[in-house]
Amino acid sequence: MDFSIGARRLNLEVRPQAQVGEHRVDFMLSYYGTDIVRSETRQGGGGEEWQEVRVDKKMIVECDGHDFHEKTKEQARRDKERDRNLQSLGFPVYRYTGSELYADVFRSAAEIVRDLTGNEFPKDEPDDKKGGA
Amino acid sequence: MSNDSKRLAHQFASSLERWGGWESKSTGDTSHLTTDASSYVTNALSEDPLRTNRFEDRKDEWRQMVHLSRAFLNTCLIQQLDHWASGPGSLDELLDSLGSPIEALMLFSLILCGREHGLGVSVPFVWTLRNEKARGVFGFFDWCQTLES
Repeated sequence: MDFSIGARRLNLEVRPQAQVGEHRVDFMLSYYGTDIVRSETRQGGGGEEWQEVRVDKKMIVECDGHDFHEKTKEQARRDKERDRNLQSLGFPVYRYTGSELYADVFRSAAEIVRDLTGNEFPKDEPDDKKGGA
Repeated sequence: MSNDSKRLAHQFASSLERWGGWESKSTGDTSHLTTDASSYVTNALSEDPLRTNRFEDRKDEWRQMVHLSRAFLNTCLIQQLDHWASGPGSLDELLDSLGSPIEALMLFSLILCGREHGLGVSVPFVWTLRNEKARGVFGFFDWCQTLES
């Protein structure tokens, strides 16, 4: 097995007040770097090998309501239109109400990070690959 | 502190303790996540049962090192917190760039959740000071992590 490939180096960038197209969004999230994943060997025989893969995923997060109040119908319509525009640029949009965040912000943040990284918690990796970059 | 600020801080702390991260999964007790860091250092070194053989076999020697380590770790934390709290690319500049307290709630929780996953977390921001725009990066990285463009 070849362990000469690099270590996992995964990063999360959280960019507040980011400009996306004609919109300024609350947060643009980027999950990027190098991951190491387990896959079956091509020769067959049920063997496994570890492969280095590039990761680059983005997501937009919007936090509604500076005063925790509910939106009007017109505000809701504008937000939906804005979400469609942002999604058409290729970015998933996660929108949370102020009262939702006020009640339990970590529930929302954990959901965002889990969906962005695809993991509830960090993946196991072989001891051989742990260590410095 | 105003009542609104107290409520916001209380809601954040409550949500943080409910989430708990690894602490919640491993110990079921997340109360110390919201106590001050020096208490945590003291308790972690004194009471953590997952210690080396030295803890089992040479307790006197271990105890002396623990006393040394408390001051060292505490100072490391204070140094790091000081770097994060003020100066270029720091928390105070970052907070200035946000639009509302709700955004601060979300940002803080995203940073903590990202770090919980072992991710290097960076927050690039534009800070307006005296009508001039300055760019900064508020970052959390382990020694082995590098920032890639």
